[in-house]
Amino acid sequence: MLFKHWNEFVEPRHHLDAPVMVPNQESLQALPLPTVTVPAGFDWGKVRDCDPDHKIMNPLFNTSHTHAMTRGELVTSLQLNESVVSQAATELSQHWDYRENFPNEFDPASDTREDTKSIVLRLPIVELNGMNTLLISVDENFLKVSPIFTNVVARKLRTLLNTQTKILLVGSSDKIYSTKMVSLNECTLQPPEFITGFLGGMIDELVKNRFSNFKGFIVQSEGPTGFEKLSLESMDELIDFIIDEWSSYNINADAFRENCHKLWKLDGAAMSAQSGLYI
Amino acid sequence: MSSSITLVLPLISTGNVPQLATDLILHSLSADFSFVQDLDSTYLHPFVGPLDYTIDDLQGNGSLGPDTPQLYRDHLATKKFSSALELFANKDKTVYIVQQRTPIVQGYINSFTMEVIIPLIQELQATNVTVLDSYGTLDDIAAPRGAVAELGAATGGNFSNLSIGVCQVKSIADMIENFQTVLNLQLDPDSAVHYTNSLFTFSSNSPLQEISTSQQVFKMAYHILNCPSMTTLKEIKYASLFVHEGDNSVDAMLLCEHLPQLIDAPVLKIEKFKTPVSWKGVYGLNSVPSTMDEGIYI
Repeated sequence: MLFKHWNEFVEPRHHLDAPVMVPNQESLQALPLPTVTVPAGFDWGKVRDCDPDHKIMNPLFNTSHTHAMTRGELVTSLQLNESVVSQAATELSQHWDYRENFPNEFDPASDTREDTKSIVLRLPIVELNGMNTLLISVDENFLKVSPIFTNVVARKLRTLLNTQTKILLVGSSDKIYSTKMVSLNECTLQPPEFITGFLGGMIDELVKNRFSNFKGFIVQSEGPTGFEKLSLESMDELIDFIIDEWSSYNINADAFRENCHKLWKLDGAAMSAQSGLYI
Repeated sequence: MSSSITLVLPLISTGNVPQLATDLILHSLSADFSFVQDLDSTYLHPFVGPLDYTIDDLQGNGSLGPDTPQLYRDHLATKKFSSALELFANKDKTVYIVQQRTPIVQGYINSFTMEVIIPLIQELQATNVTVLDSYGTLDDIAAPRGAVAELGAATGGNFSNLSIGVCQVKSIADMIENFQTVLNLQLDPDSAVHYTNSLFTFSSNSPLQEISTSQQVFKMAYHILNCPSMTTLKEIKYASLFVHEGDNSVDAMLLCEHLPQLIDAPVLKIEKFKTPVSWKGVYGLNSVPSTMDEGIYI
C-alpha cells in the first residue's frame, strides 16, 4: 500500500512542468535551437492536404479506409555541448532517489540520464489515401518532450508548406469549455480559453504567416499534454467531423465509429468511467 | 516629441503579478495604448488565445462594439488571435509594453534575451528599460539570504513591499571593460547561488539590495550591457514586488500605483482600473468556475 505523501510540495503556478535540459541556472550561454531534418527527395510542393495532429488523434486515421503508408520521418534533434552535459552529469549524481520513494510514479529525470548528449524527437510522416494527404502525428509528453521541439517542428512545417495548402488540425485542449472551430479569420475561443502545446504552436505559426486554408477542430479533454482523456461526447464529435471532412471516401460510418472508440480505449484515452466494468 | 522611449518588460514570476499589472495598464489605459505587433515566441511555451477585452468594450446587448476589443482596434481586420508575446505602445510611441503570456522554455532565457529582447530594444531605440518582477517567501533565487525575514530590519522599519533598483548605463564601454570585476559576486552557502549588489543600485527602503545570477533580470542586464551596438539605452530599472501566491490581482494594482516611479511618462497614471474579461471568475471577487481554475496565463 502506498500512502499519500504528506509533504507534497506545491509548485508555484508560474512554473510549468517540462524536461530540464540545462540544470545550471546560472549559465549565460545561449542554447542552440533543435534542428529539423526532413526526408531527402520528398516533394512538399505536391502536398495538397496536411494534417499535423497530436498523437491522441491517431485512431481517427489509423483505420483501413485511410490506406496509410509511412513516407519518412521528421527528425528533430538537439546536440548539447560538453559543458552542458558535464553539468547535467554532476547534477544527476546528486539526484534524490525518486524511484525509492515513489516506486509507482514516473521519474522525469530517468529519461535524461539515458542520453545527455543528444535529444531526438522522431515524427513519422504518413501518406493517407495516396492522395497527397500527409499526416504528421506529434507524440507530445510534458514530462519527456520540451516545448522547444514542437515549436521548431511547427515552424519548419510552416516553411515547408505552401500558404494555400489545405491544413486540417484536429486536437484537444483542457483549457476550453466546449468544442471550437478555428481558422485564419475565425476565432471562437472566449477568454480565458486558450490552446497550448503543439496544436497551439501550429495555429500560432499558421495565423502569423497568413495561411488562408487551415481549419482547426478542437475538443475538450482532461489531463496534461501526453495524458489526455476524452469524453464520449468529444470522441463522437471528432468522429462526426472526420466523417464529414472525408465524405468523398465513402467511409462506413458505423464501423469507423466502433473502430475509433475501440482504439481510443486501447490507447487509454477514454475517461475511466468509459473503460468498462473492470480495471 | 519626448526624447525618452521606455520599454516595459514583465517577467514571468510569483503570482504572475507583472502579467496582471500589464493587463491592468493596457486595459485601463486602452484609449491611449494599442497593439503594435506580435513578437517571435519560438522560445516560449506555445500559446494561442482569443483577443482579450474589458466589460466596457461590450455594447448594452452583450455583443462587442464596432471598434472593439479596444486594444486591437487598428488590427481587427487581420488579427483574430492573441499570441504568447505581443507588443503594445501608447499614441506618441514613448512607452512600449510587452505582454508575455507564457514562460520561457527551460534553458532558453539567454537565447530569448539575445534574439528577441535586445533586437527589440535596438529597433525601438529605447532609452529606458523597465523590468517588472515579483517574488515570494519560497523564491530562494530571487529573495536572497533572508531578505524576506529581514524585511523590516533591513530598512529600519521604513520598508516598502516594492524593491526598485536602477542600473545606469552611462558608459557601455566602461561597463563592459569592468563587468567581470565590478560584479563583485558573492556565494550564498545555503543555496549555492551567486549574488551581486553592484549591478543595480536599490533604493534605501527596498527589501532587496542585491540580485542573484540565476535571476532572469541578471541575465537580461548582462546580455544588454555586453551588446556593443546598444547605443541609445541609458538606464535599466528593476522593480520587484514581494507577494504571496493566491489571488494576486490586488498585488497587480499595488504595482500599478508605483508606475510613476518606474516609468517617466505622465500617461501611466491610472485613474480607474479596468480588468480584462479573462480575469472573470479567476481573479477578484467573482465566482470560481467549476471546470477551469486558471486564467489566460499558463
